[in-house]
Amino acid sequence: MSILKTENLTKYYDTGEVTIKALDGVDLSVEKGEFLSVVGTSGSGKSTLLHMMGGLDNPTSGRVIVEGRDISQMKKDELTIFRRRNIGFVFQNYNLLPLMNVYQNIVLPIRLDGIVPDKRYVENIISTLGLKEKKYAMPNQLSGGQQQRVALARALAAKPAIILADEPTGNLDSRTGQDVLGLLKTTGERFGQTIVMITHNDEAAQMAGRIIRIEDGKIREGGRS
Amino acid sequence: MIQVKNNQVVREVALITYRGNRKRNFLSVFAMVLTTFMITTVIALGVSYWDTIQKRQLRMEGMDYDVELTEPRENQVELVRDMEEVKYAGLSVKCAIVEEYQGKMLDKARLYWVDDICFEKQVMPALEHCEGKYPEKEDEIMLSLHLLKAMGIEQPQIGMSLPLSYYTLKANEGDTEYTKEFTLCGFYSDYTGKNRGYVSKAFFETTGVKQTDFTQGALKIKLKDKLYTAKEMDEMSRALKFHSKQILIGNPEFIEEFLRMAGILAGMLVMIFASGYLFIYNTMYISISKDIRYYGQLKTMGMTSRQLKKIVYTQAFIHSVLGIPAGLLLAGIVTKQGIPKALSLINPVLDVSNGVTVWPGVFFIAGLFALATSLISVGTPAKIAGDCSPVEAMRHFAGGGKAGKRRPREGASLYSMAFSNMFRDKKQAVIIFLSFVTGICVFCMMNEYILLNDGKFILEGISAWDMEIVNQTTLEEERQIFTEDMVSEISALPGVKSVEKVYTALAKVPKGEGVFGEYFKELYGTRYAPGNYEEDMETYRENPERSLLGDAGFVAVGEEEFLELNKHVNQKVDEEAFFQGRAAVVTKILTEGDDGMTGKTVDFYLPQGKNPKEAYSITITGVDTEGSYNPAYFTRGEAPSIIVSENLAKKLIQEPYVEKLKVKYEKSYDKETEKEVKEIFQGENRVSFDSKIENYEEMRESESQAKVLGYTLGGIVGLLSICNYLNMMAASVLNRSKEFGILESIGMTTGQIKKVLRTEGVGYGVISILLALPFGFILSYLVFQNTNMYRTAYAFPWGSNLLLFAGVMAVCAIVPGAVYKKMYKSSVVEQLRKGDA
Repeated sequence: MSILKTENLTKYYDTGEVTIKALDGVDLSVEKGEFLSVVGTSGSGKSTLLHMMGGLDNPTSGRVIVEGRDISQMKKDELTIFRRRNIGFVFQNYNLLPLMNVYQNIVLPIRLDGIVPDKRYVENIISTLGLKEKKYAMPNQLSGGQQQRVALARALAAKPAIILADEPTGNLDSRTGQDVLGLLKTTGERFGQTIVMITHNDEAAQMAGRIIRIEDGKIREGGRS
Repeated sequence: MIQVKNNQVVREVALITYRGNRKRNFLSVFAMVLTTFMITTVIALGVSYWDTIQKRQLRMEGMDYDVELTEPRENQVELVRDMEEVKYAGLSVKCAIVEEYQGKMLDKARLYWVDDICFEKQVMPALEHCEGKYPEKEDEIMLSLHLLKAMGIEQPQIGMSLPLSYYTLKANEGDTEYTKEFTLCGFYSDYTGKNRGYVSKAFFETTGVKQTDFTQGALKIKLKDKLYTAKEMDEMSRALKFHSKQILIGNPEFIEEFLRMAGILAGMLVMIFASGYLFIYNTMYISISKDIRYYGQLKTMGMTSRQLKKIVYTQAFIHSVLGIPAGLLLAGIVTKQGIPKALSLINPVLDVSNGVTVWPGVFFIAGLFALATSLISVGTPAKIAGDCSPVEAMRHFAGGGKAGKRRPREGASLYSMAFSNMFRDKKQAVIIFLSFVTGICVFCMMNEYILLNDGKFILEGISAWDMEIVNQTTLEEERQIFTEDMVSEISALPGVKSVEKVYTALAKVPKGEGVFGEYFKELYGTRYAPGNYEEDMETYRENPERSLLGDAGFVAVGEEEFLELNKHVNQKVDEEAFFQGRAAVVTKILTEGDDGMTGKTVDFYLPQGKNPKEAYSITITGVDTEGSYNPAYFTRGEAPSIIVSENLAKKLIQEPYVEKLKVKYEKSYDKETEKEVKEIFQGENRVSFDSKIENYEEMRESESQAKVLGYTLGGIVGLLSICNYLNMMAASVLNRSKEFGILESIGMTTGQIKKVLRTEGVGYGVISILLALPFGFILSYLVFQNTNMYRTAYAFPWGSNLLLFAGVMAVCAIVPGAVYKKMYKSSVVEQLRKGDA
């Protein structure tokens, strides 16, 4: 059963003289619980695709359907709330809030929903990701790998159905990158989440159940599951 | 070292850099324009405001002089005029009192003769408006509009005939009344609120009054230097060799007062300069800090620190070249055109040329200051750009702030997030607080100053009553004009809140030496002494009935008047004891302190009482030591007045004589009610009115002028603070672009982000107000202490200050959200990218 679907998705950037087609009619379907890797060269449109799937950017045309709802039609705040409840993000540069400690960063999306965090669940994630000792540390006191694990914990904390990871190992050395990917996969399986990961690293992509290749804004391989 | 000719390329890079930041340049130039404009306008307005207030003080005194010599002799006049320190000296002699015009009794309408110097140089500058000329012929007369109005003449015409009854002030002449047909040759308005007029020399000579007559003649001396010391006054006194009771009246404390006032103005200017400095510094700092990454790139390409600094300074210089002349021009237009126009809109009869004084030096100083501020303010950012290593510069992120160690805390509410944000950039927080505290303090000072010059406030301080109606027959026949019916009729008017009667009678004090002896002794020591103390006291002891020392005023008041009176006594009088007839208050004049009267019992009898020979006793429990308040109008010479309750007066006197009615309206300054009250007395010429509304009308013009100027001054400083805050918040919000992107990506709605920003703003507002409050209080009290020309009681202008605080809070709360709304219309991804750029 498809949890995430794009239909004829396009994103054009008009620079005045030329029109850049970042995405050019992408049709993609992701099944519930699937771990999908999107690979492609730099500028191929893979990050744009991920942003469209997470509602971080607006498509020029086409639709993005998440859990049966067309998010491209949603208003800004409606989309934000939908994203908060259904999608978790992991960015290449972690995007942690510098003024908050590890725990505060992790529980923020839950608290934004006005919900008291499920302590046992959060503690479980923290210990699964090996962050117990660093629970009250500030982001600038953590290594890159630790920061990415915090980002992962934050993405998992709100129990989203989908996790979108944008080059999660891009800033990490290969060993740490492997650790983070392993954690992403195991936690995803453990908490029953669908994972879409962007990477330009073939080795990392191999961790996924399915790989699609994108070039010049079009899917070249593995578009349909 | 080989000299490399690279000036050209550095200049080119500077210009390219400058052109590349149009939006930021606009803000920086705007900061320059605004600051230059504000400094110029503030100085110009300050000068103009001071000028206006001075002018008003001059007008309220009715004449322009610094020192007064009483009863001058001819040789003394010559001597004074020849003195080096004297600018000019005019002679003024009070020679007659007008009593009546067409059956209408007039109140203390004094006629003066002044010489040419006095009229041209000293009287004229103090007049608001003047028509006609000074009297030359014996029957010519010039009257104040105030007096003409009291005479019932609303539209005076030059040449109109005025039959007047008057008596002269010739010594020992008695109360001989004369009548004469005068011709009106001029009229004027001033701020003294007094019934006055001027007569010709020919008429003055017919009165027989001499310039040397006690208290009538005076030489009004204007000094070259307004600031003089007590020592200089003593020297002048010695040189003049005084006769009998002559004195030199002056205000040597003026030098101290002047310095205080100058200190306050200088302090305000420092604050304004500080606001301007903070604004320019802030704009420049933010602008340069944002560019530091770019400077890092230039450095990696081989540009030296000196060259980078030069680029920064060139930018500041361009901002100044564009901003300063524009600011000066704007200030020129506003001070020359805008404000006088605003003033004339408020008051069409105002002479707009008197509106604002600007001398060219103001423009020069303001321009210089703005340029210096601009160049000084880029010093630190230029140093940062020039000194840091290329890699550091590339990593530099303005306003990003560093997260330090924090205590372990679980959870993060929107409020704690806002609180953390407020202090993440300490420099930003300090500048916001400083700028707001400065603005609020200046505004508090302005509010106090405006309040002290507020006509209504001054009048409230002088009298609690809206209208006082005086029975003018008091000194003669004592006709009972204010009947019970009349009082009931006034009370029944819907706009009237209360009416109180002030009763007066003569009290005889046969053995008063023990109570009033000390007072009389001190009184005889003053210049106004009626005679020889020892001799008069001896006569009093022997025959108290015949001695004037045995006379005292007997005044009776009601409840509201008692409350007013109780504000002026040396110790509070018990209300119950007063109304039960056990306690009395004594008012007196010309001496200080209570002269030992408090607590003593005075024995008296009332010749007009039910039992004229019966003696009564009452204890004096309070004394008006400053002689500043007397509920009655006509005092009995220098004798003290014993003030008792109206109950007691009614008990002791069959039908006590009502000298005065005091009326309070439901709504102060209610013209309709005033008209109705006056209508009740239509056709009654033996009463005079002292109306708060009329007094206020006379003060309104200069009050509104003071208000416009004062609020403009305060408003400009306020605008500076707001612009500074806006600028800081815009920079702060812009710098947090990525953070907002992150927050949105993890599910924070725009509403929640705005709430955080609003909370931050409210936090800045609350802390700024709390920080400013103690300073505001102290400064406003200092303003009060040093500029309280009308001796009013201290009052903190709560109304206008609360409005100010509300304004600050509103700005603080609204600005951050509005800035965010304006800046972030892009998608989350774009925000994240902007932060990474």
